[in-house]
Amino acid sequence: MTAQVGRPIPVKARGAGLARTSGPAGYHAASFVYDATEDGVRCVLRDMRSWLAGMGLDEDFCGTAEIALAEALNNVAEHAYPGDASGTAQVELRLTPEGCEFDLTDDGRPMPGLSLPAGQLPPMGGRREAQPEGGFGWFMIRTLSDRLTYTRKAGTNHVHMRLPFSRG
Amino acid sequence: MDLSSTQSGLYTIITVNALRIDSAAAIQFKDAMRAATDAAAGTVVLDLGNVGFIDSSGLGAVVASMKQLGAGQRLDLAALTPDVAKVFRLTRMDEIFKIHDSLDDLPLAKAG
Repeated sequence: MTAQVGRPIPVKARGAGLARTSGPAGYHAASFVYDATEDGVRCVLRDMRSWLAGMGLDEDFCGTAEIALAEALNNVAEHAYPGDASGTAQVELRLTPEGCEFDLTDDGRPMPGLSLPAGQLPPMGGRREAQPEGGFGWFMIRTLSDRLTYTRKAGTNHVHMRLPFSRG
Repeated sequence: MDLSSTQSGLYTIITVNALRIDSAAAIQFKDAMRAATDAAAGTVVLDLGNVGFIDSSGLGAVVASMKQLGAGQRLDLAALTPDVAKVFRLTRMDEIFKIHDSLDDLPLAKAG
């Protein structure tokens, strides 16, 4: 599966350079439109990370951003557009002095219960058979972000997430 | 998913020749691990030195690979890159696996 990452995305992706526009408060912002599929997620993660690196953010923060965004976007690909359902989705980033704000929007299915999963770490048993294989995604998002909201309005899912530059 | 397997002393070292174990690759990884560990005995060391990124699906596939092993076998991890180490630390799965900084740290691997 190596080297499959570079498959061209069939939707327009506005990334580094082109998207280097000023947001409402004069901060750097970028916007990426992507296919809500596993391959589309790979592409937008790569583009987002190179944009953040181009903004001078260090590898540690870029890694944190990729981990958190991967979980949020995988959730869109798996749950908003399950099975053969397809669609495009959007990520907007904005850098502020405190951190990076992410706005994720899609027109897929709503979150179950119209709320974000609690994201608690699954219990780890002592026995090998009892070790959890899932349930880590939202826990990581909640651990890494200091603001996280979900709204559903007019058929659109909107997740807002902020990753602070300084943690702990 | 391209895995290569080498025997080193008491260890079976399985090197992942891929840049990512993510949602798109998790099932292939798990299947390839099943094939690679089928005939392995003793401790299996998963060399993640080439892997720059793992997500929760990939993490689940690593856990599943551990569960696939026989009763007398163990799955250790080695050579975690920074973002991969961060995912194991965040989810506290670094407490479940024995993690070697590098393949050179394997106590008996350098014998001979």
